[in-house]
Amino acid sequence: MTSRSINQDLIRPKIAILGAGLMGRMLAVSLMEDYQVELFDRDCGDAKQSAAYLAAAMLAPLAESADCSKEIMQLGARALQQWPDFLSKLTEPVFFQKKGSLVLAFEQDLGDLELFKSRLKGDEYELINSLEIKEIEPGVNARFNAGLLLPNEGQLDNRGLLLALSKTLKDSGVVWHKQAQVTRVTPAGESPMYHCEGHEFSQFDWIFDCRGLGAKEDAMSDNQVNKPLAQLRGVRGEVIRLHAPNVTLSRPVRLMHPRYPIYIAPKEAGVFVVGATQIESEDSRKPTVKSALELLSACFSVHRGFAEAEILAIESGCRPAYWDNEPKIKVSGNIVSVNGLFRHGYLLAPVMVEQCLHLLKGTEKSSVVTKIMPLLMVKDG
Amino acid sequence: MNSSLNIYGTPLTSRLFIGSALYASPKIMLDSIQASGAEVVTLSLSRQNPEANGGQAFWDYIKSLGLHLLPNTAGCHSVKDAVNMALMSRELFETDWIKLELVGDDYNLQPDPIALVKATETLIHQGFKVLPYCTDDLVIARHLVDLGCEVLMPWGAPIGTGKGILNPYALQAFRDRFPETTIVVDSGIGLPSHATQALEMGVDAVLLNTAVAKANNPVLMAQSFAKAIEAGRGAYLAGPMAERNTASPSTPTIDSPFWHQS
Amino acid sequence: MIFINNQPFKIEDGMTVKQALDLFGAILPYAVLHNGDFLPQSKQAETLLSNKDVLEVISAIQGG
Repeated sequence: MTSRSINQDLIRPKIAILGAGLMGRMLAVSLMEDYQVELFDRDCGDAKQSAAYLAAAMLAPLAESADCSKEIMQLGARALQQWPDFLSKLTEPVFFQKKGSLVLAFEQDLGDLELFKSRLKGDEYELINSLEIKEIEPGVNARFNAGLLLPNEGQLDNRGLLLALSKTLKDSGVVWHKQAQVTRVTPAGESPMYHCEGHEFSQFDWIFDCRGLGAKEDAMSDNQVNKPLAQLRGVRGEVIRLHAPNVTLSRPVRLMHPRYPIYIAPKEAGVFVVGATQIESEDSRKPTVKSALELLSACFSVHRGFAEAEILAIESGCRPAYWDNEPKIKVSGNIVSVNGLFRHGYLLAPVMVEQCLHLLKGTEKSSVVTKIMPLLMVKDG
Repeated sequence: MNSSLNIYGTPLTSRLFIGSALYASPKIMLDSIQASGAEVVTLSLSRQNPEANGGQAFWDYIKSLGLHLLPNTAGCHSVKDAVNMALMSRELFETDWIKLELVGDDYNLQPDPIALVKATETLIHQGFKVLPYCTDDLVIARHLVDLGCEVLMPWGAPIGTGKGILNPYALQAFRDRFPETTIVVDSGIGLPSHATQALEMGVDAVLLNTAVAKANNPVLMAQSFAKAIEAGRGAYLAGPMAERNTASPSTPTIDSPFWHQS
Repeated sequence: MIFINNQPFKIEDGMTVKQALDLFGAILPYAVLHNGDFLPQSKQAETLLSNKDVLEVISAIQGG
């Protein structure tokens, strides 16, 4: 594609994508063939300011359905089917697994497991006993007497994916403006426009705003009338990365916890991602002792092998969320905001891309995505 | 329903007070509170973090409801902490109502009766309208009423347990001993039937949070509580029948044909 | 040196509580404890800080 002629470039519409987190990168890769894409991001290309950098990248639509709507679950299941295809377009392989996930509860939390089961909005799970647990995950603490196996769930390596996306974009020559802080300004009586030192956004045919929590101030100033409901807020999460070569888990384990779901997700080469707390705060400080203790004791209680694990990192970040914790694609003229993916960035990113493609091609009427979730896309005027 | 509820002179129609914590999302919180029909919503205070960008979202959501705010002193262990928190709440939320909560035991969050009485005295002296969270102890309650409390909030069971009214005898006695005081059962309610039971006993209102927030369908549960509380109040006003130990037919038998009589 | 919500801050002589709160980045609405005592909003602009003073800035959260 490097041999594309200048003439072709003249007819390909120009698209600006703001924010090079998970959404921005995936959109860029999906659009770069048919459009002239330019990516703008405030960080230096390593995605360290992105919520996607920390996420455990669970693809667990059924398990998540205990605490989210059926629509999110259905979209997540659809996205799970789309991931292998999407990953095959990248120039580097990314760890992707669909071996299911295991939900475990200690004796005193069995009530919570029962409640969890009753809240699932699908039936693709099986109750398993201690023998069956031992059979599929031999290293797990023998004190677990009951669990749920959700055989159709998956996961991927979040950082591997972010790197592969960036490599693919680089190989394809997509223009990527790094350390470019974009802000939105709304001149009195006029429609909103973006501003970034040294760039002119009026030359683009479409602008996709994928800045996550970076768009928070705009969301607040835009909608004075129904402000609380249009507001973006951050929901804090804390995550630990461990190197634990002695731990033999082969699939993610979700442990029942009274306040938030804790995952232990095995990635490649003995690396585990453990997370995440879910706290109603935009606190951007480092993780707290309490959260670290909760996450680490969860690990150790599931598998003794974690005792000797090396702590690679303990990090915190904020997930962008709207008041209903559900994503929105807001269209206003040629400006499209894709935001509010909350704890479901990896779960939903492929279907968000799918819907954006429908919008660009004018085929929204045939979109399965909005058939599943009609309120996902809102158009102004 | 006739004879409306009255909290320190403020008339209320709904006999359900609802908490704002533990919901899965702000939307579910707002929808549940609205579905409950509650006119009083509880909230609390915590240290602000500038890195947390103010965390203003929650406050904006709550304000949008336009309900009476009942700030609590949750987590306070000493009289001084509770009084300070009440003073801050009054300034921040512009209300002199305070749900006075003083933890005396970390295991079951049982209120500390002695500190509660002391803090109540200080706060009433400073012009607060105190709604004390207490146990069903009649003697402590008497002290609180003597200090000027027009509302008492005895527990049904420890906070967050959902066990219902563990000691109906004590609660009934509590109700009967303070006929002039507004009684709100606070904590321990898990099911609408628990709330009905409390209202049937003549309790004036119920305050709950977890039972709605942690239900599978919080909005539906909030509606169910609203109905249960209305039913309980209605039953109390209607006056129940007397319980009997032997069956008595509800259909008059005198005029029945002889072959129907045994 | 003073502490606001457990964080140390350097202050200059003659600084008021209100000025320190602005430095801290406190966002309205909030309420303030000064050395463990409630300090009403009306007094924040006139109260001077001394070395080792402790301020706590408090705002609304969910509660039951």
